Amino acid sequence: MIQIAVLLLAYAGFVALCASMTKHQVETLGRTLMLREQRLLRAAGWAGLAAAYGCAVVAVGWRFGSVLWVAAIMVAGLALTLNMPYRPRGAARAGGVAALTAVGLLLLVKVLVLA
Amino acid sequence: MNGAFRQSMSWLHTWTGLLFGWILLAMFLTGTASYFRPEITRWMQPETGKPASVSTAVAGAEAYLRKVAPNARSWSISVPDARQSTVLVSWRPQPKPGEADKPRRRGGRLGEQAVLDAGSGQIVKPRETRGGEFFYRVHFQMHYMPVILGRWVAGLCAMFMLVAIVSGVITHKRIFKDIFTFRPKKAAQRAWLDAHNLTAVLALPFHAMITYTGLVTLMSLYMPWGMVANYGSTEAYFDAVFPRAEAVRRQGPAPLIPLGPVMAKASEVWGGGRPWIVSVTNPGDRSARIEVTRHSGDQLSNLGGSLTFDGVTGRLLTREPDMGPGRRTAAVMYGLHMGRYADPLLRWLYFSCGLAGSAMVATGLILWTAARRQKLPDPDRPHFGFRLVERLNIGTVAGVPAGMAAVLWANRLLPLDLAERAAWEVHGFFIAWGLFIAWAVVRPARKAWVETLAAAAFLVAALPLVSALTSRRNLVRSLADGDWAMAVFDVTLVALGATLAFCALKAKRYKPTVKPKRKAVQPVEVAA
Amino acid sequence: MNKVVITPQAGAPRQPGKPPVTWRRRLDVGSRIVAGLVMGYVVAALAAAVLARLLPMSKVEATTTGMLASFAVYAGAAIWAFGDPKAWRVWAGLLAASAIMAGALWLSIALGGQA
Repeated sequence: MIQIAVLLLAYAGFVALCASMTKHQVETLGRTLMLREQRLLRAAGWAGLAAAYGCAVVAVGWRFGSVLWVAAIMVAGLALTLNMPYRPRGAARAGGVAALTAVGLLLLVKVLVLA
Repeated sequence: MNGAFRQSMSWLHTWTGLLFGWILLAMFLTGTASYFRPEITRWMQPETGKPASVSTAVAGAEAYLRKVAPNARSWSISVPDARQSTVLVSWRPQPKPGEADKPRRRGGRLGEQAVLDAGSGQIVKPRETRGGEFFYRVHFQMHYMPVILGRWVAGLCAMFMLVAIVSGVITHKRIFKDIFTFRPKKAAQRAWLDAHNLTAVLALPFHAMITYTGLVTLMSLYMPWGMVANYGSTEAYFDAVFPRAEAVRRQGPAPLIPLGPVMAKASEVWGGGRPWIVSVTNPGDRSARIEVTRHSGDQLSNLGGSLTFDGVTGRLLTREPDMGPGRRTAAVMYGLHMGRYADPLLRWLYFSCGLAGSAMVATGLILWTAARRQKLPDPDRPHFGFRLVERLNIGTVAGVPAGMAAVLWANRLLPLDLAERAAWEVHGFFIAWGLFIAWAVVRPARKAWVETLAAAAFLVAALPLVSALTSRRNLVRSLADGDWAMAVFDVTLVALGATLAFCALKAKRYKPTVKPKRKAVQPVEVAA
Repeated sequence: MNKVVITPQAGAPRQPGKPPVTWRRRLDVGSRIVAGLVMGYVVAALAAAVLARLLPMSKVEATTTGMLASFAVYAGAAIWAFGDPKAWRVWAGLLAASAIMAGALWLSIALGGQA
């Protein structure tokens, strides 16, 4: 289950990075961002990718986890980019959903482990 | 970075990508399929059952060998994992009196063989087929040529691919700015370039890894010079690193310890690792030895090492020494390429990246024609090179998936008692690919794209139905039996077929921006 | 009155403004292909052998490391063969590198022996 969270966080991270780019702001978010918002969103994107790595290491150890993380971000990047021309807002919204789902999954795992 | 360098890298990228592009596409597609090699083999042998637990499988194999070859010189058991449903056992009889007792030639066959069902330990006689092994082998050995030549061809293609990757990265000016850019609705050249860039860049770690590690897996063939410089020959190197066991003299009968506990002990020594190959020398004798080799998928490194136990007492005698950093790096590279260590999620990610790589090669080939079409002096009569590339593109992008499907069609339709059945399944791959190229040559290009893609889509998507009509294996039964791997296999075939059908639909609906046909230049009279 | 007839020349470039492909250009490209493909392999092979002999590790380790690195050397040589504006520089460099490495290899074998 944590492995699914890796994929979800990778996708969410990429959505944030993509939406923070001047090129893609309008199509994904519907408006242009102020510089401060842009920086925050970019930081959130990197944080998402970092969180994905953390989850991968927790799930399968740092060796397998590193490989899993690289694979996850590749596939997440492809999934986002292939959808961008057809439903950019939807792809962006899916990023938010992915982030929330990932947090939910991690909490669930934590609860199950502690229980 | 100056413009001239980028330009020369662009030229280099185009040529290294184009010259072997069609073989590279076939290598990518067959290699990607090979990540599911055991599943393909199982699908192609519907007479076999489901995978069983390791202990069940080994117990069945041991019972068989004790019954059939109690006094053999050696036994070997290929322990199946959770993805395989058969156990391969083999044994070498004792040398006849007067015959020299030679240790097994490296890579030589092990005498007699039998295939057992993992669950029941009974002999199974699945239909004669190479299974997923064909896609795996053709991926790096080609076909219809000596194995070493095929490997050289694969190596040359891989080296061209490596240079194409490096030159491609150098020449891609806006690699970060354009990383999420995809504009399929723009003009053809722009759209295909975007598609090529995104499949190449977003999965670049995979492409670079798979190409370099692919070369490394066969480096003792391609670059033996390190071995030659230090050991005089590659054989001498392998003899030094993997010393062959001496022939052990028989000393008198003694019962062989049951294999189950020995394997459990091996697993314990490895901290929970899985056994993969069990070799017994001189079973039933006091000098018996049991060598257990670790599963190549337990760690990133594909060489798990082996443990040798006393065959009568079960005591651990020796273990292979640990590898230094150089050898471990090489073994990890091999392991990364093969992906045997990957659990189901990661395996599907590998598969997706492989498909992305195939798309990268295909879009690159198509981009070559798209970029040059406007520059043709007479678009209705392109020059030979353009025609060649265009027709090979159509015949290969649709023909290789069709060929792979044709192998599975042949697997279900060829008579079970046909001589050389397995070879004929393989011929089906090349016959189908050849037919698709031929179709692409005789038809107008645009129609050929639609027709070949649609035909390939049908061949792939119809396979579950063909299987249901001609064999015991079908989606309903797989679900009922809890055989999830085979059920997902059928669903995946339909999904892949649907993707090809989608491509055919896009090809049908494609409206090129109409460019006015350039008039052939007329001689002009100029009054002097 | 003279009539001058202008016809497009056979063998002329398909695009206006681009110079025709001269024998000089063909020679340049041809020599780079040989340099990249053949000399590149020679240099990579020598690198594998020299590294195997000279790296400060056990024989087995040095052998493997040398072979692992050789493909990067080959790729690098190929990139240089086509990237350097002057083809003679590529040839000079690859030949010099080969000579130096061959010399070092010979010396190592003469002094240390093989196997």
